[in-house]
Amino acid sequence: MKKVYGVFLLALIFILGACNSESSNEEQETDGTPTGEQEMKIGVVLMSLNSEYWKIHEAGAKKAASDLGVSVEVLGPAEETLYEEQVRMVEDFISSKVDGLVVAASLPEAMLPALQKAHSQGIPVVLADANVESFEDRVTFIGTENYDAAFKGGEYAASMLEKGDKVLIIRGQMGAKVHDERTKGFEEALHELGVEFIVQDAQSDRMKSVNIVENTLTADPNIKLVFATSDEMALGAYTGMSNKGVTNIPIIGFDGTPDGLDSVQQGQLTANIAQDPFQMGYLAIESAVKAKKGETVEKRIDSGSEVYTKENVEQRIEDLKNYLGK
Amino acid sequence: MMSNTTNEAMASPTSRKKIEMKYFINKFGALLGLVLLTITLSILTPNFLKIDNIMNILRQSSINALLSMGMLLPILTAGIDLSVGSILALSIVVTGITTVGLGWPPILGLFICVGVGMLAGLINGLLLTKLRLPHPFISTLGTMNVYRGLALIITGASPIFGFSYLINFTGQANVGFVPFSFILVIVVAVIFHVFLTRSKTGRYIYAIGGNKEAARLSGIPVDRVLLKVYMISGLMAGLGGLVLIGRTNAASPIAGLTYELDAIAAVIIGGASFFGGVGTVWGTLIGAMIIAVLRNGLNLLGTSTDLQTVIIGLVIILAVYVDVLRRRSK
Repeated sequence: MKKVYGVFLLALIFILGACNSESSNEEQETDGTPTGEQEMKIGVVLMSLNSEYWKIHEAGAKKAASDLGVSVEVLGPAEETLYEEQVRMVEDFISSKVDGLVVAASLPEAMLPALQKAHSQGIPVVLADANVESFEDRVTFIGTENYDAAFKGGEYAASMLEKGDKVLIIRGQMGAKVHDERTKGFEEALHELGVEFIVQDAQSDRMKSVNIVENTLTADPNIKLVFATSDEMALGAYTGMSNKGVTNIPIIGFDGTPDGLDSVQQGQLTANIAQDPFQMGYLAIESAVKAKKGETVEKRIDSGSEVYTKENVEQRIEDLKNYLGK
Repeated sequence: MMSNTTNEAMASPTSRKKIEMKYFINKFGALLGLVLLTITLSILTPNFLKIDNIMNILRQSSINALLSMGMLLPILTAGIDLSVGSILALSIVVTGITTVGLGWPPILGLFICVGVGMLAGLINGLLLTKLRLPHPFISTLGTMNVYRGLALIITGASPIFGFSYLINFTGQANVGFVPFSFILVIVVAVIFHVFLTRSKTGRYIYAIGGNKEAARLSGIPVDRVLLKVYMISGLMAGLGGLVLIGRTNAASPIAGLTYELDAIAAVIIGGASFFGGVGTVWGTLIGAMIIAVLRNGLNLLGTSTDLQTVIIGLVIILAVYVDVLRRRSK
């Protein structure tokens, strides 16, 4: 039994050692740019690292780091629902004395105590993607103007609709601000036209979206258009329709993930309201570095959005491939 | 209830030294692991052993420590409680609805939080002892979904914010520079230790885990003990929830997802046997610390969550393997 423990601990130490050398290699890579002073380290905590959206965000952050000659470390829980783990990650970055923090909080208000702690220790905090309204000491909030972006999408949808048409909106978590804004922006763009909305909560889950579309189409086959407040749900909506053999209802997605854009190119989705996570990740690092150096940063930075259809999607897909290094 | 190690010591007096070593590893293996892990991490990352970070770890470990001490009881009876993560969520959202939504006095909220947990645990116990569901794995798998669903329904799936200081106190406050939540963990651990080793019910719990039928035949009120076991497990989930509210100033119906797995892991890493009858509070506490130290250290090293999951999985496998060896050597 002693042997078992021994072997295991050796293995563990080996793994930990490997982790360590891995991260120090990364730092050396960015060492290339001479800064003259000790290298700055920025900690980034994302909602998760397992989706392409966050991978593109990460790529943007890393690009900024190498352009500016700083090092970044990116952490994120396995699921976006694990918000307490995110809090722990922020605390751990504070412990390891980072020079700046970039945080995309999945349950923004819950992050407040940890952010206040960072601020009290003099660490500048940049919020990305989701704002923590009550944290007034933020350097800046960088994110998509969700309302504006969804409004653009609504204007595009108007060309396909008539007065009295029924539109299904599949949204993420009720009460989540991002999805509230996206729903509202889309609805208000179509307000004048006078269409009817059916709003369903699929909690950003592809499978739930499949079920909702199947059920809604069964109950009400007269739906003229589907808008989903994230790509995952939009792709689920497409699957749900295919399952029911429906092909003539346009679907509009939101996010601009590679999957979402590909399906625009293939004609599965009619349009995709794309955010720019690469730009978001890039600007966040840039702002954190500026704040650390004492330069002023605007309190709200829009990372931009665009409606992609079959006409203009190809270029965007190329760009994303480059970001992800494919 | 005699522990396995004493049995071994009496059975084979041939090589005393070897047995002492075995006894030592059984008893202190997890602690040894924690110490070696700490040494390794403090060499690898300079910020690990700073007071600030140690307090950080104590704070981060406290929710899982509370949940896993609760989980220890069902596991000691050869059962399990898969619903603790959901109970935690239900407890905190009910606390949120009553104190934030309805404006009930915060002091009441403290009791509501642990009370809801205890009630949910009582239901688990009743399902097991009255409906005679075949194994708590099944009944608590069911209630895991029921409680989670209820938490989502009564909140309309949205989180609740803005708790009063009294409710946040448990998870937020420091006594000196020590997190209050950790002091709570220690106090609870002492109570649990006394309960399990000195009280009649405590000894019954080990006896039921050793052999349920024998326990029943020897006149132990098995059902009543099991009812208590699941009530305490639920109560601890509620208490863990109270700490979570304070740490995040929020009660979300999706709180506590997968917490049951961390709690089970801590109990097993701490040397308890899945077959029941073997395990201690201190071991469980060390198990919870090992998980917290690993997560914290790996974060400080900038290891991806995916790799962290693999490493924690390996630790669990090792702990179970040690248990298997221990049983085989009997």
